[in-house]
Amino acid sequence: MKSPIIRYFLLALVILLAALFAPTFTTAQGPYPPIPHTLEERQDCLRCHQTGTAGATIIPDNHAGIRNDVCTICHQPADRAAMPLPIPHTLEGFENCVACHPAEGEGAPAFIPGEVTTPADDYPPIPHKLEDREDCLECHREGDELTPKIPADHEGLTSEACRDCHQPIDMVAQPTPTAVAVVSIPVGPIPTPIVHPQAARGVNVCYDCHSTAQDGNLVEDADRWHRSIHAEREVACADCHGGDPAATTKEEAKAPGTGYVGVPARVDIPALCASCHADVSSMRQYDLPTDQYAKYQESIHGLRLAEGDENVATCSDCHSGHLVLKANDPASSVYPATVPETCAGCHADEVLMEPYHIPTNQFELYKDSVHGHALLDEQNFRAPNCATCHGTHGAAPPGFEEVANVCGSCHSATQDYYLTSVHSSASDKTPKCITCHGRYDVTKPSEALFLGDEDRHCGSCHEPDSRYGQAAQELYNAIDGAAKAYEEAETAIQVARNVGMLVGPMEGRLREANTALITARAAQHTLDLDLVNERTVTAREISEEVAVSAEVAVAESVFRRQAMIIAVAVIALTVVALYLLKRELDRRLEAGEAVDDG
Amino acid sequence: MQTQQRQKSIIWRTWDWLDRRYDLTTLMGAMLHVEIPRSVRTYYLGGITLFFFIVQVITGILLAIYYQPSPNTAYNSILFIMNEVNFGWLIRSIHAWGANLMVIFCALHLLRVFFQGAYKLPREITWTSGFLLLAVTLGFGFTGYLLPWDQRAFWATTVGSEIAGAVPVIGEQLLVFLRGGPQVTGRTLSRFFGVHVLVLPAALIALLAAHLTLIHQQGLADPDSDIDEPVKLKEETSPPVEPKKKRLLPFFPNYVLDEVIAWYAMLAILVILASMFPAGLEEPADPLRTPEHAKPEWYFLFLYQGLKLVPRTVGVLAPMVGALLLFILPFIDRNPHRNPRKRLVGITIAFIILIAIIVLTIWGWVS
Amino acid sequence: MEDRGQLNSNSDKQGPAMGRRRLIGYLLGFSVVATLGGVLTPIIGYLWPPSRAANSGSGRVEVGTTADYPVGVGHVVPVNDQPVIVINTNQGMRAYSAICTHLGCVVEWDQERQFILCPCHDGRFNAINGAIISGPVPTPLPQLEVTVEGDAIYVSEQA
Repeated sequence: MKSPIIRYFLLALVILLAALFAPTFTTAQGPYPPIPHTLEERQDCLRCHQTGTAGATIIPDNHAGIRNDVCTICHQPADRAAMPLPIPHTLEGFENCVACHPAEGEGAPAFIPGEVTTPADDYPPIPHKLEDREDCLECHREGDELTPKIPADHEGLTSEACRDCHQPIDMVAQPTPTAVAVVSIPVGPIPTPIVHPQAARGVNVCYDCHSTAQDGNLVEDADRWHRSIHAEREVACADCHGGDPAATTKEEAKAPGTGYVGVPARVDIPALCASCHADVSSMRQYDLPTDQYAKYQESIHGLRLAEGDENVATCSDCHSGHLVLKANDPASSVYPATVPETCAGCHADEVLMEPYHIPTNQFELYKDSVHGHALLDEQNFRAPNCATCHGTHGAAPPGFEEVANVCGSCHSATQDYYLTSVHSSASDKTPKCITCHGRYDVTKPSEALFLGDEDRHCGSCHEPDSRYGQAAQELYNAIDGAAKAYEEAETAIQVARNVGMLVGPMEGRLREANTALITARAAQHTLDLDLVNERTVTAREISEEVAVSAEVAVAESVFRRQAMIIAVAVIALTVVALYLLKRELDRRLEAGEAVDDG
Repeated sequence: MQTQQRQKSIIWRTWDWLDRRYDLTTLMGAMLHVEIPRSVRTYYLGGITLFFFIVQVITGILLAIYYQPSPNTAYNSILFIMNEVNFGWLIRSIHAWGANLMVIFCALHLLRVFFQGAYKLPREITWTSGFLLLAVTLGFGFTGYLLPWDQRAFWATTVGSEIAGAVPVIGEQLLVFLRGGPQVTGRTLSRFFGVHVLVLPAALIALLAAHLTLIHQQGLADPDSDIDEPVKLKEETSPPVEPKKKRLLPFFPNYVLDEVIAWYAMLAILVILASMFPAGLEEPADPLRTPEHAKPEWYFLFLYQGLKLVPRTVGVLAPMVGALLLFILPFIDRNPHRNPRKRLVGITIAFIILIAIIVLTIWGWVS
Repeated sequence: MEDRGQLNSNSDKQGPAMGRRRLIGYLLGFSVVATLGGVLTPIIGYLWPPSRAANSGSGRVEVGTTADYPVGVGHVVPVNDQPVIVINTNQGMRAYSAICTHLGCVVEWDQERQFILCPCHDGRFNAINGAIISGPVPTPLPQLEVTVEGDAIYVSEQA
């Protein structure tokens, strides 16, 4: 006699109880393995369980795509008592589990305290910038001609783990390797000037004698001194050579006690000049710098001179011994346009340069370069001479990561672009300015550097079908395409001009395309295709717009000529009509005359 | 009677209305009764020159509506005419080509009159007034060339007025007078504009009126006759005229019709030239930057080129003397014959000068 | 008069002559109309003021109002289809040709750093007098006259 109500009540009770206790059935002993460790500092499950680091179980295939936040819905931490020891250390500074726990197989992590594998310092550093290169394995999984392939023991590691061991090189310049062993000479106190008897102002018997024909070979030197800035500033013979400038005989002039030196030894020349020119209080009135001596001593010339090599340049080799002139005097040997010739005086001499194994073709190359043409032919003093890049008194070749700064002192925009690119680095394996543009023989760059067969084109490092070769090709296509569109627009304007249309507005608009194109060419130093495309697309669009306006103008000209043909046709018709009328009138005239005659 | 045979169109009725009040028939008859010897080959050159002058007046007035004669604004006003004004390019191009053609046909007319000896007795004043008309036409060309104020205009005027400065004795003053100052400046522009638009048109119309009246009074010269024969004057005043021994052509409507045909042909040439070779514009005038080949306009090139070959004074005085001789030609020419075969000296001299001018012009053009 | 009568009677007798006269008449009528039309259409079109509100050679172009140019602000505007940069400096309004003297790029106003900048090779010009600050530019920017009348700012068309 069971009533349906009771039956349903019991069923509901069973269902309710089942629902309440179901979790205990499923989870406690369920198919989901419990988490055998505490969750402190182990929120990122996949970090170990995806790759099996530190002996973690690798997640099965049916977990593909599952993220960390859903793991704990199914997997619960096991009984705490059964857990192995929690991680006895913070993870900060210990992100690299593999450094201590070898990643082998499953089961309990094999922790061998004390047996630490490779220390962090030995891991090869990352020699390039990390921007746009977060996914290490994209290149390093397979490697290519420039990228090392990851070794076998990195199997299973993801890109995120790389930075745990490998650190980027500090991009700040490292000490410059110089060609010469650096011998650091402490710059001592300023040398003292030669002490010699003073004469009354304007009295300089040395010159009076030596400038006459009695003393043949010194006449030229005396004359040169007389034309120099030293003569104007009353720096006279005795200030460099010693002696008594008021004495009237040779013996008196050069007597002991007059400080007479005669011709100074080459090694002494810098100190001699510095005795005045490094003295701030003397040079202040002329507003001349006083750091030349200090710089010179750190320069290649100065260092070698200190070692006893007398073949290097000293002050008088560049500035002339007697005919010292202001640097802005066009007759001076250190006038900006004359500097290349002055340097080449020694540096183009093969015999002189042979012991140092320095090439001697720099001046020849420079003369044909854009810089040489600008400075020597066009007298444009914004162009660099030897000293601009190498330094004047502190002359030394710039180190290879200093190059961008040297070129960038004028080409600032290009430098900014270049420094954001992946070519910019401290290593000598990536190209610098001089790699692609040349050193002394800098010529106008063109798109041919992207492809083409010249030295220094992209293909001389990158295979054409590698990803870098592809990138070079894409940059080339973008810029070359815009350049071609620009040329087409220019041609279209020329055609319009030739048929007599006025093209001022079109030329004005095309100038904007030129701006975008030139900016794109500068921006290609970033190697960023998107950045370059921004500009080439603008250039191309404007060029196409201008080409269309030019064609419209030509069409207008064609229309005018067609209208002209119609007008001429009407006139021809009129002429025909008038001619018929004329014949009619002539006929009447004849008839009238015939009547009169007859 | 005769009116009933004509159709009573609105034109004739208007004519009758005016005629009844102003006796136009008599007036028109007097003006149109001139007769022309059939053997005359005028090639209508004088009339064509007149046609071009009319064209220049019309297009010139139109251009003056938009043109602004000040150095700051002249160039842009021309650009405005070329680019913005409807048919502006057409009006300006017609004006530019019309100027060239007017000079050419004026010179051809002069040559025709010379070779047919039509300048001799009794037509001396007709010749002198015609010569002055040529001078005024060249003056038009010279003053008008400056008005666009672009590099070509500015430097052509500078170079051209330098030639004036080479005249001995008064050269300097003449130069300053011409230019409104020692250099070509805005004063030159306003001076040239005033002359081009007011002074020269008035002069030309006055001279033209005289020239045409004289022609009308005397009729066209018969090249077959010599001046020894008595001048034939008209005996009747109303058309038609009894034909005499020579065959004559009524001025109206026959000769006029011939002229109109020639004018239409010239209009066609003008339209073709203006459409195929529209007037151009170089960069704006820059007094500080001389272009490489500054030359005056083509009709002065022979003077310019000649000055490069002979000493300066000769190069200036010779053309002036030549012009003076040409001016008084009828008075110094003693040969009574019109037939070229009987005037070999004059004809030869003329040919030599003509060829020299052409050669110098071409030389100046290509250098 | 007699001649005329004779002539007329002669032609009345000739049918083809009548047809020819009519043809000539029509042709001439057409020619007169065509000539009148062909001459008057350009003339009237020419005299009709042009629609585009371009400057007509008055010597200067209006480039904006004083509201567009607070102190320290500059814009590049077209004047006769050539780019011109107009700046309100702290020493008054200035205008220069915006065509860089290096390679012809169009210069910009650098608002933050308050100078005229050429984006192509980082050429920089002084806003007060167009002189070169730095960069590969050979010569300063040509200066143009700028006048302010009431609210409107005008730039003259030629240097």
